[in-house]
Amino acid sequence: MTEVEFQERIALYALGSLEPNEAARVELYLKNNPTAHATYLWYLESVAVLAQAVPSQTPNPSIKAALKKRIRALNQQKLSFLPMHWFGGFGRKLEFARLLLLGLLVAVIGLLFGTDQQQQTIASLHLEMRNIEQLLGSQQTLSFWLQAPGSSAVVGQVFVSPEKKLLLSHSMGILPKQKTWQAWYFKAGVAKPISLGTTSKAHLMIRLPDGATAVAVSEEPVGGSVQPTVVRGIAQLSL
Amino acid sequence: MPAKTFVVNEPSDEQLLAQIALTHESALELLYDRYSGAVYALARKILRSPRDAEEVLQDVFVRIWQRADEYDALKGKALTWMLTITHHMAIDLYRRNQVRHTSPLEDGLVLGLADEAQHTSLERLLAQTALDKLEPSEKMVLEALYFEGLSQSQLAGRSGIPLGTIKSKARIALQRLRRFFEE
Repeated sequence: MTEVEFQERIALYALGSLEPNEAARVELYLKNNPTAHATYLWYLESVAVLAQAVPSQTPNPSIKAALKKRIRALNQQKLSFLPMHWFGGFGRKLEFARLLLLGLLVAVIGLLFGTDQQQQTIASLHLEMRNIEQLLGSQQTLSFWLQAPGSSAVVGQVFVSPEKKLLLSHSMGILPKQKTWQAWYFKAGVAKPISLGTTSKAHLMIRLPDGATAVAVSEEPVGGSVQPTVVRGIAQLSL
Repeated sequence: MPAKTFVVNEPSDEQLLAQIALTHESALELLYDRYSGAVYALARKILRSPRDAEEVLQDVFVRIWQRADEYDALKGKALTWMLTITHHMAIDLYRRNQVRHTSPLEDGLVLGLADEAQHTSLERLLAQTALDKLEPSEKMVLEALYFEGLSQSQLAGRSGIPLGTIKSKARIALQRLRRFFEE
């Protein structure tokens, strides 16, 4: 689609009035031309004027009660045996997170390029990078915020693929040499350590155990711990 | 006439959505109280059926609850985002039902019998003023496409207006609406 064709169609697209094949062409153009989004949003604001011109009508009060009930039912499904205010957020994919992580891994590989031992490290890093890229690139991968306990502060993000591979990426920095990050999963109210779940890095790729409803990361002595000591981030998983 | 009461420190729509993204039910309730009238009215205008409109109203706020974290304040107003969701859901249901009502008077909206939510009355007045400044043919095209869910081809077939004319009228009309607010 050319820009002229896009300009001819964007108003109708914002109105929801293009035939499906035409709408798909506009969507592809928007995907390939991020700057065109501003035009789309500009028209969308105009379209909203049509909606806002409609006189407001008070709905039946029973709808509000029904909605509250429905929201509570949704919350129950996600469920939490842990205090609800620790959790929050729903998944959404962040292309930025993917690019940032890939960039970090490329930088690490660049620094290590050289000796045989480094070559082996590079090979394993390549594999890790491929796994991460596959996980982040999948449309079915879900993402959840990792939040500091007792606050709404986001300290990282957790990505879960349909195959139950989990990528935990946090922004809590590097620990001193005598400490390590350790990952945990919660099942039936109990925190259990995740196998191979310790790392000094800002990210960890592990297999999510079956039945896990939340994951957490804590600060532990090197070698890990059987019980979490200082929990630094928790993500509730709505799988 | 009683003085209008202003609520001090009322959270903005964007703040409410941020709180909803953190699963604060009270924030959703406040947003519902603020905009359920606008959402319901839009759904009702498209669907005509109160029951269908109520279904869409609930679905819209459930969608807001589930995807509040997807809203980006840098990309547009919160109300625009919510009304866009409403429009999509209502048109989807309308097309699924494939029911066409021909009388615009049965829901009472055209007669102006709807009550007015205090929060949006000024916005509605401005929006109506902007629409009134359009040429009648431009307004007709916009309303047919937006509220009746017609595609450009369907409108062309029904009205006899050439497809190219519909495209340009829709584009020009939306540009005029936007410029009304920018000025």
